[in-house]
Amino acid sequence: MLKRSSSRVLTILVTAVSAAAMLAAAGCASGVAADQAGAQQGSQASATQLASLTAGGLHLDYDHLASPKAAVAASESIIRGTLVDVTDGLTLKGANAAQAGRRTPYATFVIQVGTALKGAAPNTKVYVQVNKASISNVRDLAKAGTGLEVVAVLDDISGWTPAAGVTVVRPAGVAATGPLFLAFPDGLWLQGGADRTMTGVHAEPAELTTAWGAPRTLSQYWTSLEKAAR
Amino acid sequence: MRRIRIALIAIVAAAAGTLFLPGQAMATPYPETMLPDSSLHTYCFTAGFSGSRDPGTGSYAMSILDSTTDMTISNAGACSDNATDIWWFALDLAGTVRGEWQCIVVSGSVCDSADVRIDFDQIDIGDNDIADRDKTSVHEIGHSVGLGHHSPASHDCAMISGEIPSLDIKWRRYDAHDVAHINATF
Repeated sequence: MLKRSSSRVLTILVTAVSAAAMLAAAGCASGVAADQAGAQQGSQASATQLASLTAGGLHLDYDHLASPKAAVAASESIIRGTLVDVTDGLTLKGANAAQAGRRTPYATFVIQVGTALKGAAPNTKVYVQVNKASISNVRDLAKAGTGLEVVAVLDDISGWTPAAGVTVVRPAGVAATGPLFLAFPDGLWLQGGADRTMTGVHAEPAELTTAWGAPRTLSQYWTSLEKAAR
Repeated sequence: MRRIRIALIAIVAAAAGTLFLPGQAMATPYPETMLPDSSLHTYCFTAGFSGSRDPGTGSYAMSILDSTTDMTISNAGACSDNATDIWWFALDLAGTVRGEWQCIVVSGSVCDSADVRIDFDQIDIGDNDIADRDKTSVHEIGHSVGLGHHSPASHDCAMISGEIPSLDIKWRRYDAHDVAHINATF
């Protein structure tokens, strides 16, 4: 009896270990496919899906916002609100536009501001430029992202000149003068109702420096900024 | 009973091997970005990149790919062919972006041709400028062969985002785990 029982436990253990090994191997071999499958199974307002669509085929190396205090100091605006639309972003023109890349697409994330730590008023819309993969279109981004909660730490790039002879054309909806907001790569975080953690479009939570206190949710990230802004 | 115990130990060992090999670094998924179309990585320097303060960093990054992985490289000369795998650019990128890899021509699920754009002004903020440029260049080429951001959560390598923490050569190289993934694919 004891022997049969031990054998059954071993069988269960062997099965569990084998399954874990297979899962680990599968995860190691095809993480992108697994992520995409997961996103497809989630709700439409999935931050993971939006990030995958926005940054698929595009990766940035960037200088970090070293701490919440550094983020407050470096930014022109810090807002928390809801993503209500995604439209075409800025474009580049000029005789030397080809020197800036074969395509340099951006999307405009339209954020309805709920509360702001600086640079915006509640119940207004803020138009944020976000680096976008050339292979995705803004209609798909809007479909995937509308309704997501957002925290955005924003830079003003109104004086930006990518190269000599290249000028920036503001997208529709953005005033001809005044700030042109760009989200810091590690300053744009989103979370949907079904998401347990926040997702960055161009950064992962693990990339935040220790000074941030390892936030995993939008509320935790926002609290860090609130404390720094006091 | 002894046979079962031996079998169990063997399976646990195999599972551990799957989790932690190759190398001693933590496993990361692969690919994390789009893969290139073949093991031959062709590249070209645009006029802006050739006339930049450090076009040698592009050559450095390509040579690291060639010398540390099974992939091979070839300089295509002038940038005029959309089939060339990597077009190098130098410009002022918006905000705090140091460099970027962007797939431009897609064929099925692979990237036929991509831009690598380098912002020397942004990279040169801080210390260790030459090594820092090389890190970002190696980093962007890493994206072009399927690697995502790794350090510091998984292992130390050029796929860290931001300025290099030190002059240690590991920040300008791919981790053994990454190399194993690349070599297994190409």
